[in-house]
Amino acid sequence: MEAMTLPDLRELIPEATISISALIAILVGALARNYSSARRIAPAVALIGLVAAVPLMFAVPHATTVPTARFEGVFVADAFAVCLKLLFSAVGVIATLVSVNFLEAERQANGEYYGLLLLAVVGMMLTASARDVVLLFLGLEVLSLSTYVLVGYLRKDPHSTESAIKYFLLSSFATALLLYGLSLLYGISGGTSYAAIRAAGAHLSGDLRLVAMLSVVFLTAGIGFKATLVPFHMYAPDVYQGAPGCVAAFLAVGPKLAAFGALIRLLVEAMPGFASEWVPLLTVVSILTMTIGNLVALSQSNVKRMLAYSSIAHAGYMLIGIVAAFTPGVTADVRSQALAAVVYYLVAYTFMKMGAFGILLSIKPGDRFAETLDDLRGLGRRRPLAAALLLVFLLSLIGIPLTAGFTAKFYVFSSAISAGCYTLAIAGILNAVVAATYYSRIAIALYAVEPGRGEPYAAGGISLKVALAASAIAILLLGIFPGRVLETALQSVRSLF
Amino acid sequence: MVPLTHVLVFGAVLFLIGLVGFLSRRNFLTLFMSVEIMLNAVNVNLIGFSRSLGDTAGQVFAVFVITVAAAEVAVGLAILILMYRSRGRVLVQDWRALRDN
Repeated sequence: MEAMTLPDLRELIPEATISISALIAILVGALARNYSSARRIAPAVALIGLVAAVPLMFAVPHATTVPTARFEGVFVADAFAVCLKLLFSAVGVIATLVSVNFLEAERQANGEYYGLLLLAVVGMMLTASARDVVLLFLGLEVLSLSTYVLVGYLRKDPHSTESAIKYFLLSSFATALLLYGLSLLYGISGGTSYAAIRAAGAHLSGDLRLVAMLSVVFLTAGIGFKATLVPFHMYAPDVYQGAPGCVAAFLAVGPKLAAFGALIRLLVEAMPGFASEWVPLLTVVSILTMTIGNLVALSQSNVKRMLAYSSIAHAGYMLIGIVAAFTPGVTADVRSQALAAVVYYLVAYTFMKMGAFGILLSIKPGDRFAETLDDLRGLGRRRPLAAALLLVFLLSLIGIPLTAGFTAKFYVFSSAISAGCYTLAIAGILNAVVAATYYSRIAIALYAVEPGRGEPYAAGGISLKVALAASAIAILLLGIFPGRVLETALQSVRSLF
Repeated sequence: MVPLTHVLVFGAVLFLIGLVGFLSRRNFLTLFMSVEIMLNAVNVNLIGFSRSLGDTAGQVFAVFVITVAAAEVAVGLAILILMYRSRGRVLVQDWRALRDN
């Protein structure tokens, strides 16, 4: 063991910056004498922290060229980690921007809100860099613990409390399952680092194969909960519906991105020897996730629930790319293209899902923010701009050409075909057709002739508008010029091998 | 020295007790304790493996699991208090407003 020197800490600077901003935001919230002075400072601190972390990710000399591993290989800042962290920063920025007006409207103290949001982002970043199951677990827990509080943030709202109860209980249960799987994995590999697990996975036999199978099932449960994979998806609609709108926007994206990032690194770096256990399991899970997510979404009248089921379905599509990448016998080229397609999908998904949830925060018929299809009826005439933005997000969620959603689905499905996973590709395409029907129901309600109930007046301020407009522009740019982002994704994925 | 098999069987039984408790009980506090039992089963496994492998990483892992469990208690009890203030009891069946209709 070599002595730790100061340069070793350089790669943690982005995480440290965001953590420090989180603490400052909490302090500002606690020290501000009155509500009005803190409400402007805390989100500004959060934005500064998240944006300042971006150049610091590239300031590390090795980060983009030679992958380096610090703290005895526990933490790595390779191109894959940097790519995901850029996306996580964007998630944090959008989540901050959509939260400002919501918290003002609900007259909530906001210092600790932004502090917890930033800590959740730090947790996501740690999972992207984790090369050891202990750090993976800690990253996921930092994320979970922060989001438990955020979900129950509206203390006087029984829906918020109910979703916090459900999320907390089921998430801690899923964590226990994940940990049991990790403890078995430690037992068969004799170490907690990905390298040790990889070495052990190369020669598993007899009884150890059975234990490996068991641990893979437990890991799927634990990571699948965060990624809302069926059958660990049950909490998502209830929690997203009851959580404050801005938290739902974060929750539908953040934990899922962290889970997929962790899954990719785990499969590539730690468990290539376990592919024969993972692939059949994930194939079934992927088909179930897409199908159940889409079918149940068909019958929803609450838009937040519908978007929750749609986010479950999207997790199924992303999983197609992962299965394609690890199907035995694929070439290295197909494998990195499939994983790059997943990374691209994560980027596209971030903007369209946060945008769709964000729009709901800009419409307030009566004393609650818009939630049901009725609330959105006739929006096209009363709030043409908000309706047009929502239409862009919906078209992207459907997967109409010229939007990010189309290119993302196209790359994932074509990677499944080049890997020979025809069943998955066909299931994905059929599901995309089914999904189009319920997204169209929202679009039809928007431009319905008969007016809905209540007066959908504007509830959003400048920061919400900026976030929504930026997301819509990102979706169109990604849809029209996908090359650059796909190339970056490809390079980042290649850094794993 | 206790053989590894005994430790693992003990861990598995403990884990199953927690699992069954979580799936069958309705009181928030009992559900919470069931999860804690499951986490302790994990710790038993980790420490058993750690001793038989002669590797300390498992014990370090167990310490982290204990730490995180303590943090979860802090958040969990806060949620418990919210539940109690709202309904005067902490049964999960009181909370059914959010569901598919």
